[in-house]
Amino acid sequence: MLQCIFLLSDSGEVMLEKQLSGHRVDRSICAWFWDQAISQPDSFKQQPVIASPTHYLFQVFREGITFLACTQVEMPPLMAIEFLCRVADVLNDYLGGLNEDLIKDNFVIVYELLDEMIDNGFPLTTEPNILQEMIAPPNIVSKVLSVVTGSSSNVSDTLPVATASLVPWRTADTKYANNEVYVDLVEEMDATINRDGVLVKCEINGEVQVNSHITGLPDLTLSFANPSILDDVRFHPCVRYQPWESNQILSFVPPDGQFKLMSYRIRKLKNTPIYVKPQLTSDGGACRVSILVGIRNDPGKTIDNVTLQFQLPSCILSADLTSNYGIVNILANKTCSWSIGRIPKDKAPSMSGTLVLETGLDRLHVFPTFQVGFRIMGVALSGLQIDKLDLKTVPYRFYKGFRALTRAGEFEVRS
Amino acid sequence: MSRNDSKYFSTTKKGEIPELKEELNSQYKDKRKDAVKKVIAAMTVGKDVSSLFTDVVNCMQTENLELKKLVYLYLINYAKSQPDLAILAVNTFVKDSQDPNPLIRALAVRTMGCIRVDKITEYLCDPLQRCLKDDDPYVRKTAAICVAKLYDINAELAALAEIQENSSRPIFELTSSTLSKLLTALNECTEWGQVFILDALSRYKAADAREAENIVERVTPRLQHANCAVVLSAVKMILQQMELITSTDVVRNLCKKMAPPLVTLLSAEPEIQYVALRNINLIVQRRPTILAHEIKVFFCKYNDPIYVKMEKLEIMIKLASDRNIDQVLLEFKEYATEVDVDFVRKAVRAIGRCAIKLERAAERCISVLLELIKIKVNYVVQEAIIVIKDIFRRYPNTYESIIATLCENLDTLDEPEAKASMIWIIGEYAERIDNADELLESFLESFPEEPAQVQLQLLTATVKLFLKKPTEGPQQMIQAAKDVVLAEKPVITDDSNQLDPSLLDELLVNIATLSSVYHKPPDAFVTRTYLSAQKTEDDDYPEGSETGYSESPGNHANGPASPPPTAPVPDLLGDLMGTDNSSIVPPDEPTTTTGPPLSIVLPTSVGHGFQVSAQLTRQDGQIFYSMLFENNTHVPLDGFMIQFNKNTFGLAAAGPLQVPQLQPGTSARTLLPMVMFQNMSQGPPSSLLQVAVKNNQQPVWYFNDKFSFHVLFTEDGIMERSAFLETWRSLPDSNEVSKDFPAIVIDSVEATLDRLAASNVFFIAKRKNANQDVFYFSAKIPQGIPLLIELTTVVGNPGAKCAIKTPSPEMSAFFFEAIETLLRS
Repeated sequence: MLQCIFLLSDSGEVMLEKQLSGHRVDRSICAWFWDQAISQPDSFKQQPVIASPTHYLFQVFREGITFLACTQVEMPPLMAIEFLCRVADVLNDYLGGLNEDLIKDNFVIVYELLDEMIDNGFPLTTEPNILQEMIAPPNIVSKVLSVVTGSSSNVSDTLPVATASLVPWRTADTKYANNEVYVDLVEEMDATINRDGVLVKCEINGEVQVNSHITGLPDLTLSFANPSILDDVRFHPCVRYQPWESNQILSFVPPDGQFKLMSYRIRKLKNTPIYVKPQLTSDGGACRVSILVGIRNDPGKTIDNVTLQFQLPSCILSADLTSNYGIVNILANKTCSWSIGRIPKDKAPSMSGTLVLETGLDRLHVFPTFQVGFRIMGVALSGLQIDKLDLKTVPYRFYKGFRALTRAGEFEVRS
Repeated sequence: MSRNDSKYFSTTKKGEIPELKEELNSQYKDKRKDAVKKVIAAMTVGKDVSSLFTDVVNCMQTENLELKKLVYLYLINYAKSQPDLAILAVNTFVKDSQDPNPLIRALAVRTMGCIRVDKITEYLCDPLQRCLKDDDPYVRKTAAICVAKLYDINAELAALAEIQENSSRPIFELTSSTLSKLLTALNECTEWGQVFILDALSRYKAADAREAENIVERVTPRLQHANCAVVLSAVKMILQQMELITSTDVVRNLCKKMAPPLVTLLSAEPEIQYVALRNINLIVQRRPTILAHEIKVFFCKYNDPIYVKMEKLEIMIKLASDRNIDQVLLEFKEYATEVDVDFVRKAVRAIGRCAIKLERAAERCISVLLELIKIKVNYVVQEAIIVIKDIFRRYPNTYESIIATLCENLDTLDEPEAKASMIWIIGEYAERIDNADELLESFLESFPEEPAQVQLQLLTATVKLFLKKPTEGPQQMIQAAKDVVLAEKPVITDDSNQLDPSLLDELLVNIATLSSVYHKPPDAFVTRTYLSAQKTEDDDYPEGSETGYSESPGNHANGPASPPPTAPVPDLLGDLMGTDNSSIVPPDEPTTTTGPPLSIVLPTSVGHGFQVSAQLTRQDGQIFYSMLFENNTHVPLDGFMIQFNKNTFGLAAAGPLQVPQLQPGTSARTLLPMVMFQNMSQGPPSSLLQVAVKNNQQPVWYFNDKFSFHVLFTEDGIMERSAFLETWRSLPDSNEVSKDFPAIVIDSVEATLDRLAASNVFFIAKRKNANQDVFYFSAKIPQGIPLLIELTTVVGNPGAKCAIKTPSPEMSAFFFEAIETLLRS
């Protein structure tokens, strides 16, 4: 399978090299990869699967760090990419972010994690709970402990029990004084509104995020009031399939702490909470802009963090844009950003102004696409509702908390 | 413990290695661990710390697991370069493999398996066998993976171990009972194990429809796994078994079940989207019903990476139908005004392909294309004209009413393909265009500068115009020509991007593999494979997966298989060499030849995979530019063109460069005939040749080549002695230039004279001067300029002096270079 993993900085420097098999991969492959990367016009948007003269390369790019894996054999590319995404997530979790300094500051931990996550190119242990049991994350507590106890190792001397069990995502000896479970519905609305104002596509991509602190091996069941609206669902491995297939009930032994229980998709929504009406009129070398934003189909809760962002076409020489509400900024890369915040009740926010076209152009031919941002606390716009959450096996009394949040995902309005 | 480990990356002290050595041998445990960290950090930034091998290995026997892991990491990197020293570590490995702590046992076995030193692998067998029977399943799993490593390093050892291990039962094979066990294990193993199991099971052929249905029933829940690799492997499995299921209801239900998870892959990270789209592209070609109602999920988002957008367009074309074409066209029209030019072009082409594919929608597609033309964005107009030409070929004599609109845009066409398409339209419908002759005449004005593709269309269109609007000429000849040129033409279909059915079948079997991303069968790029099946004793962790290995896979195109290159150009030079009457090669006929290695003028790294080697040569009185083109990119290269900048001797190409299409990983040689005094440059003389080379897939590449002057020496350079003497005397002394060649040694007079004669430097006479030999030669460069050479040396001794007299003494520097080159070779 995979033969080597490199971590490259945003200048192409090899920060970490993990050889995974007896076939040693020379790091000149990174120089080849980087030459390719910087020669592409959009340099960090290379294809994730690349055929080099000697190897197949898989790359995942996160926050300036490139995770690069090499192979010379036929293998499922999604496994490689999924694994690299997992590595990025685990490192982000451990280090509290991804950047060159953090990785170099903690390179020993990164090596240790990779050692446990993959062996001979086969993914091995990728569960965050188990990894944290094997290798302590770098934080203040572990530093203090190491000084006090005299132990100078962050690596566990014992094998976690979970690596041998049928519940590999949870350790059996978890203990809490107070048992509690929080369930959050986190939804993103992806919508496309075309030039004629028609809602071409509108769907919700949502996640059921669970934060559980329960002693022992709890067995939970979660049900929805209206599961039939779900178009597709994907489950954490802890979810049992049979109860869902039969009764649309989620039955699971949760990992400890925060995890994503389920992701779902609901499509063909008919309404969006916000409307954006752009109008661009070209006339004699200039283009007049008028954009109106307002609430439509009031969700009943406050719509926060409303923003509008668009890229000025390259043929624009200058832009003079003002709004009657919020703040308008034009950034160095010709991105226009309008921060509205909350939409007032008494007047609709509007932006207007003039774009000056470059000499020789009498009208605009390339039209910008407006990216809309918003956030609504307390509402799942898809309409999905949690019915109940029960704990079997042990008669603990435990606290349950439910929340919902919807924000804009890829919400775009074409002009 | 300290977490600021980045300080280890910044040490640049001069005595680093000795200092590290001292620290590695410190009596303090913490100091030793810090030292090992420094070594690992130095290793990471590429420093060679292999000389510390013994000292690092001595830190290996420690209770501190973190330190042990770091030492093992060092060993994996350097064991191969220090095989004798690596043996020292064996005892510790063997001991660790029996440690009470299962974590240490597994670590030892894992590390030994990564070390490619024969001695180590031999010692590995015993601990490996013990660990395969270990009490702890984690250790057993690590040992099982290690068997695969061992096989890879030393197949014989692994085979013996396997045979010994399994002597009481057959080697792993996929039977129905094995299948049943693996399907049960599917519920119990990790997500990564599920991918391996599903891939292994996809090789299984069910006996009948009922068994296939049972398998599918067990696999279907994996469609809802959070790991995308599991989902795609499950899809592959189900597609395979569907081929055997006869019930249309069951098949329809399965298609219905597979659609949502495939769509959900498109909400994942862009990297996953791309792989999913490449696989979906294959799936919809075989089973379009799976996603026929899901066209909207492929609508492009503004922030999609360009490689995702391109794939989505491709799939939208395949899914376009009479039912959804209206909303698809709306989308394509909006894409055609986006910022990314390549994406816009592809959107316009997509409209054309939909028109060809869906007859009832063709008129609507044309309406959209006309709307786009009216916007008058240049690259949109040109792309639209190209696709409209294809629509005309698909629907002859149906939509010619729009030709007037096309003719309004003639002035803006500057791309060869757009010009060729427009010219084709004018020729094809000449009788319906009042001023067709004037239009073609305006194109004819630039005929000499046009690429061949445009020239060919112009010639064809002109003939068509003549035949359709004859003004004079014998009627019989006109009729005969009409029969040929205006014959009924085959109607084209939209199959240019379709895969060959048998190739599609093979790629469907390999969904969720690399070949499905590149749309090539595995054997196209897996040149040598080892197949091994992993075995485990414990059914809790069965991973019956196959591992294929290959060495030096060839370069692969990222896209459908390309058409084969045109037939190779015959080797005319071979014929010439075999004839008694040698003649000059006609300047417009290309030849290929093998010859001495050419110097690289455009290296691969500069040419983005495209490499050019070249040398100016002379053969039978003709000057050629001998060139070698190498394609180290991943796409076929074609449409090669060359241009020479002005130079001292006006060297220029006598005809176009004729190189066939180059497939990735292939090369081609060519002899390009050259002419002189075409491209004269003013200013000081120079032997520099500035060259531009272009192909259709890449931008223009510029490089400099320095040619050796002796290539210009003509065959008629020989002079009679008397003529030599007379010319020498008649030239003033100021025309004589001398130069010393201290390093030149002439050992064999005979060989030297022969070599010079072969390059048209002719021997005239020889005389003795004191203890030195003096040779006289003559040569001539084009335009009859003579070159008189006096060479003074002691045969067998280093050092020679050369004096040259010529009417053009400003050329002396090149003369000296040429003479030195010839004498040195």
